[in-house]
Amino acid sequence: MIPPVFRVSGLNAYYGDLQVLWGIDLEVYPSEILAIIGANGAGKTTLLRSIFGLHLQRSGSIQFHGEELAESPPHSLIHRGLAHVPDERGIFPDLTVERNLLIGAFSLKGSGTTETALNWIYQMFPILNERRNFLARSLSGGEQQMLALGKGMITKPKLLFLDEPSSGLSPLMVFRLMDFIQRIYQEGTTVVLVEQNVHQALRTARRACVLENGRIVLHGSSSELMRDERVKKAYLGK
Amino acid sequence: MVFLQQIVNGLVIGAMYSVIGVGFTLIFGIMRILNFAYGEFYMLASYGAFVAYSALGLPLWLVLILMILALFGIGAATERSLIKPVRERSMDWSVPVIMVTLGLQIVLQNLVLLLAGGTYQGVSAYLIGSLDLGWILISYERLLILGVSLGLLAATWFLIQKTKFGLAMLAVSQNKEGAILSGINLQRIYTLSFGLSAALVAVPGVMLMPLLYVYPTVGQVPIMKAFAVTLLGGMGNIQGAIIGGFVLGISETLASAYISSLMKDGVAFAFMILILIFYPAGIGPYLQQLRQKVIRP
Repeated sequence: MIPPVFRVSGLNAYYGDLQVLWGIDLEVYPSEILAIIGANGAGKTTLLRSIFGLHLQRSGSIQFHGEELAESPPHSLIHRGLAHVPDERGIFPDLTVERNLLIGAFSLKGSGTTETALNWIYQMFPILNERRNFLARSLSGGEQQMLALGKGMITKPKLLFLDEPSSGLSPLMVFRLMDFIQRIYQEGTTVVLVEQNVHQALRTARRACVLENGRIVLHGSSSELMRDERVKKAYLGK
Repeated sequence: MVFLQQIVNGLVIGAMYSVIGVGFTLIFGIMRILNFAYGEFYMLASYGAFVAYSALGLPLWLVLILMILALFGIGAATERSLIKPVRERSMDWSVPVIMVTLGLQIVLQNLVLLLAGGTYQGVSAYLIGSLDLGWILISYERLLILGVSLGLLAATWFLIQKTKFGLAMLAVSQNKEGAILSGINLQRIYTLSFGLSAALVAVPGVMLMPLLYVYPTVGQVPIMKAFAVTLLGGMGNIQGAIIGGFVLGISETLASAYISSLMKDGVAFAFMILILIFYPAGIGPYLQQLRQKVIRP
């Protein structure tokens, strides 16, 4: 059995006196797409924020390749190969598309690496190349999401966390987005996909866990979960 | 001719106001706080210049460099020792940090009062003589002020728009979490920005010393201008602050020439209120919108 690359154990998170995450255990294996699904307010976003140290009131252990991350400063995570595309997209509205990508590439070292990475992103998302001198705020929702993905991927992270990438997108855009996520995965990046769009998430991911009221209540392969009565009833509307 | 002369005078003082405004708005843009001790950074540079120039007899260019370096250090040290501990203790630290800067303002004023006394001190002028172009007369000292300010504004623009550090500052000012996730060390940006802000106001502190003199509460003058320029340009908007500085400088000079020098501040602030009625977010955001319309109609 291959050991997991990333492991969260006993993660609790609080808003003041209110506990919102309860002993989360999560394992991510190399080269997989893992979906975390759940209703609005289940704690999905808080879980990602806690992992990345953006939510400070937390306890528990977070390990990447066996190294403890809970004590590392949040900005150092990207240097270790962990990237996070947050739900409000994490882009810089009053900077151009190109400068957004350049900021995303800050942690890259070596001459010419940034240039190469930038061209790679432009190849993958030609729309960003067309819009390179436009302010991020002037892009459409779908284009902004492409920018957020491009910015998150430009360092070729080993592990990429995507928080609700489909929110605010048209069904066609969601379809294309899931296609991109497949391609990111084929480029060798392990993906953790947090989604409210359960149907799309289960079709894209191989494995999934269900978060409810701050606890992981179910986990298994996507095909198992798709057949699960509880999941069907609560999330797939069947 | 008188009108043109006033415009030139207004440009000179406006250039200094721009520098004062840029240093102040920079901190607001990046940290969302108002630094009430900003005027005291000016005051420290002014006292430093007085001592270095008239007591030690150092040349002006050396005084300028020394004060820029000294104030950079003081600004960065202030962030590290007084502001960082407050930031680390609370999630919503804007108001506590503003109170800390208010406290620092009072402490610095009283400390200097104790050490230097309350009398006005100063030098008559760094440079004497004037350049006579026939249609306008401009003193060498004012020319020097204009040159130094424009050079400083250009250097700041270069730092912000053309360097990696500047891009990181822009990132932090627009989206803190996005910046953290890109690997930017917020703590470092905060400390360096505070140093940069203090270093910027060191230059007016040195250059305006012969005009405003120096005394423990002299910082009240530049901080009022900083507020006006920052509001005029849009909070945290650097381009706006540069334009706002010139608008304030020129309107002040015209008011004192054509109405009364006693009304100088009153008219300038009335003008500012008038602009804010039409552009409540300041003129900076409005100009950016205009630019955006030109790029993408």
